[in-house]
Amino acid sequence: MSASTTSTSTPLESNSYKEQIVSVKRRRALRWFSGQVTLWAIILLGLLFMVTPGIWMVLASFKNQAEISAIPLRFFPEIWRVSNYPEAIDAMKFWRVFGNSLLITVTITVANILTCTWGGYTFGKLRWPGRDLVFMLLLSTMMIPGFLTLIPRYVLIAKAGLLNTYGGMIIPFLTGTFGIFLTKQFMLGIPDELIDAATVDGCSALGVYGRIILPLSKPIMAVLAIFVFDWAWDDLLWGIMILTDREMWTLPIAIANLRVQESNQFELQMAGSTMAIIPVIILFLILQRHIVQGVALSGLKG
Amino acid sequence: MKLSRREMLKALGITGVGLTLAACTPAPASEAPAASSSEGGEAAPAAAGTELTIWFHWGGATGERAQELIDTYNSEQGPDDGVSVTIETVPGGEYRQKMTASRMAGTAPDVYHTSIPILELATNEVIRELPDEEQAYVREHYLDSTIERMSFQGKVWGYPTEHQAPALIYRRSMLEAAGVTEIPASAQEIRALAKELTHEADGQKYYGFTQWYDNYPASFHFPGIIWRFGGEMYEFEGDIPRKIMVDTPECAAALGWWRGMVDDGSTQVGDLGFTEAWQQGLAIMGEIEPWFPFINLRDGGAEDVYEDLGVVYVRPAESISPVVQSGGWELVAERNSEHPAESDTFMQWMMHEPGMPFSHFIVEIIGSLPAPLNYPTPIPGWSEAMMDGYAAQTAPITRMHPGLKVLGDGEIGTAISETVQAVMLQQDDVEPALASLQTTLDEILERTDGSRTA
Amino acid sequence: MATATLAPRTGTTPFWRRRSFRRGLTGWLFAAPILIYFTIFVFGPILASLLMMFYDWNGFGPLSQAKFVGLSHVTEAFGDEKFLGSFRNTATYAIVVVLCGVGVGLLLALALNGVTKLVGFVRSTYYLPVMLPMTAMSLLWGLMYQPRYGFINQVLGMVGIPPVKWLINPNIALYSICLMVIWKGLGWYMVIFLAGLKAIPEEFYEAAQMDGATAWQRFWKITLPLLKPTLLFVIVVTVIGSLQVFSPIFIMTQGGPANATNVVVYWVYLTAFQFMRFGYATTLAVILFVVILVITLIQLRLFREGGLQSYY
Repeated sequence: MSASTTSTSTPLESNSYKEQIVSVKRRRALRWFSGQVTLWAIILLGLLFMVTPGIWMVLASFKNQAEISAIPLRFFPEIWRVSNYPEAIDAMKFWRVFGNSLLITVTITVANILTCTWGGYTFGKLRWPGRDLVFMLLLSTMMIPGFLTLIPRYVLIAKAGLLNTYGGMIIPFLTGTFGIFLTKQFMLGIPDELIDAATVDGCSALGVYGRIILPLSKPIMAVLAIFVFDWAWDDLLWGIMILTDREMWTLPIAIANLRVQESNQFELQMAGSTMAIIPVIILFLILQRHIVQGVALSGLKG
Repeated sequence: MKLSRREMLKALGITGVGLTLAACTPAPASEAPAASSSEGGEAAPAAAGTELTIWFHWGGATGERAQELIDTYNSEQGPDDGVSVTIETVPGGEYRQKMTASRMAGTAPDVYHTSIPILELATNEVIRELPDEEQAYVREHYLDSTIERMSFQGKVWGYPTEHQAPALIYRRSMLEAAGVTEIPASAQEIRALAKELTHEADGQKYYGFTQWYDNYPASFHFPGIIWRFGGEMYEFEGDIPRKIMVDTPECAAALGWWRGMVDDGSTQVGDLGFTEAWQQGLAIMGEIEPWFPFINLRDGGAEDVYEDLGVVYVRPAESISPVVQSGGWELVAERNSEHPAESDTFMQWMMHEPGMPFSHFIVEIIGSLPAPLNYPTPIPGWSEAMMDGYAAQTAPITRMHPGLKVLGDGEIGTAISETVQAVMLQQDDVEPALASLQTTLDEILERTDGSRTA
Repeated sequence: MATATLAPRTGTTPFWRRRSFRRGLTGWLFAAPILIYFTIFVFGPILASLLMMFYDWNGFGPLSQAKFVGLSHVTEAFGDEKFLGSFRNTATYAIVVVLCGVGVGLLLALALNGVTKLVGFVRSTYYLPVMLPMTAMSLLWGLMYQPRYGFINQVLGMVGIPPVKWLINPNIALYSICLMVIWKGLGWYMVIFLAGLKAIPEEFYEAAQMDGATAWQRFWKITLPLLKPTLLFVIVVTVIGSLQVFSPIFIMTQGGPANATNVVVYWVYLTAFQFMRFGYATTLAVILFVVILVITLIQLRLFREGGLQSYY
């Protein structure tokens, strides 16, 4: 009896063991599955939250004032007022202004890529007495509200005869503390051995910058490019200060000019803003893989 | 990796080209007048003359109308005067900082159109008084309250381009529909009517009395409503404010009147902006300067509301004689301008009878009240209600906004705005709010105007 | 270190031949163009402004009219209720933005880290608001926050939530601005954190799993320490930026309602360009600067302790 029970029980047991494994697997799969579902639900909900205002902006650019403030909510315009776009283009002198913005922003961006990698190398890789103190001094300029220095900077640019010129828009922004800070963080991740080896081979500091630092800095350049481009493209205050000639205006000024106390042409502003972000989006799409790489390299080895 | 050097060279190249372009671009400001006058069709004479700059704050469509005005000068009068004028557009929000910066850098314009008080501009030597004969002209041809606004230390410092005074605006059709045939005779009656008129229809709420409580007008209207309840906000010794009084029964009555309408549920406070309430046709009565119905309703796509408007001065409390405060903008000349004579000539063209094109521009395009006494009527573009019910009745009872004679007005206004907001949003009650406001304002006035001597 | 080993030989070689000197010289030569540029465009203007701290000057009159007042602006600032109040608002804002922005950004990055499909799409979408212009977005959010017809309240109304007075209720307004700013910055945090996470070697996690570490333990013992430099960078930059918040407040609320969103930099702006008290405004900005500097130094110190070095 006992033998038979044991003999019969063994297959039973092994059977239930199998079942157990299957159920564990199933439960795991189920848990994995429900985890994925929750995960994607959160991500998609987040996506919705992130894109709604943008979509709202684009939709608003096709509406009129009444539809923008309609009750109940009108998500899509009744008639798609495509004419808002030519109207905005006309009112803003879009192409001229767009060209100004592009020239100014691209120059600032390229200049920053060069100067910030130079700065990052100087503060991150070269060793020299007083380096950390000087770097802290640079960093501390980030802590003073920008408009406080607006007036001295204006006087400087005005005295140099650069009011209403591209130079006045570009020269004060050839380098930046944030960019140097970012690049310095990145430089810390470049192994010293590489530099030492090059130095032993007779490479000067300048040679190291040109042959090692610059080629290895490509990912961080992409990050810089995006940040600087985005910031310079969006800058309003300085332009308002030094550009009085409409021919020299940049996009943010032209868009702001659509909003005056007397007639609040919200839909035109939205049309202008929609057109204005296209270059930034294109740049991001091109550079996004490099950005991840750049941030990754700068982040880890701090 | 191998590409990097070429890329670097390319990048360097782009920067180089950009910088070279930047450095080589001549300031196009010098070309602009020539360009605009050639549009006017008479490039040759203007190019030889003096170049003047004027600051306007208008953008958008209004800015273009302003450009047309200046183009007219450049083509019609400019060649005779040997003057060509360029507009620099300086948005209202950046006006002061740009004035500071450009005066320091020596790039200030020759003429300003501004709302910065004469007191502030004159004490700081920003502007030059008008030539004697022009001072006499202004004294003779303009409304009293506007002359006072231009005066400081016995001199006239600029041309008042218009004056802005609060008005009671109301929807005639809605009052008729409610069986109201006469405008309420007092502030108290306005409040009662506002409560009566407030109603809901088609799921929308219609507001009996709309208030602009959330920024500038809240503080700007303040001295005026105190007058309407028989009080005074300032005590002057000659031209100098010696005392500021807000913790008074009259002031409590005035602010209480505003707040009372909130408590009655007859305002849009906290629910909707003033502008939106009117543009969406949900406002029945309200208090605002007349440029508002003009530009925001007429030109802002609510012509039907504009046509339906009644406009009168705001009635005071029972047994108080009517009074309306007024402020506004002016045309003034920069003290350090290199072309004082030409600036004067140009300003004369803008302001003198019979043409007074700038007054016409401000009154007919912007919708402010005219400052010259014999401004021709009817005013093109103005509705009958705005002209008869308001412009004609308001002019004789205006008083200059007293804050224009107070150096601390900016700070005082900000403190008042904050208090009014707190009271209107029912965060604070009238009396305690005014008591603490009094302490704040005493401090500000002592610091800003306390040491002034005649 | 190099200096120490070379030290004994210094007696015989002139100082300009020494390696340490050469190295130092190279460093300074490299720094020179940056320093010259900064002196002209940054340090100079800052110094010029800072000097105003000791003067009364109203911005319109000639500079020669500026009156020397010594340190009286500093004493005034410490008794200035308005200014101290703006500090409280700024602190609240900074804490909310740093905690929620950085926190949610990190959580999102963790969530996305395990995802293999559509990463590029998701990442770009989250990054979209970062690229949208601040001015237009502040206007747009102002409209979406409108209590009656605003998009947000109308959508909430559909699921039966009563309208919220986003920018009008003084107890909520500051947080509404935080929400908008977090929305705009979330993509930035996420992209940086995601990149930081991707750079942590998979073997660390595998080893930990073999040792039977739970997900929670893995997060605390591996992810967080290895993410420290990224975290430091993000937090330092966010704190510096948040304490200087200006544009959204300038556009959306002008410090109101009833002073609820009056932050330090907005108050400095008003003091300088509306009240025309340049000297006092500079003093307030300097006090803010000192506060930011101290906070930043504390952060750098905190993060350095028990920092990365022990893991490498």
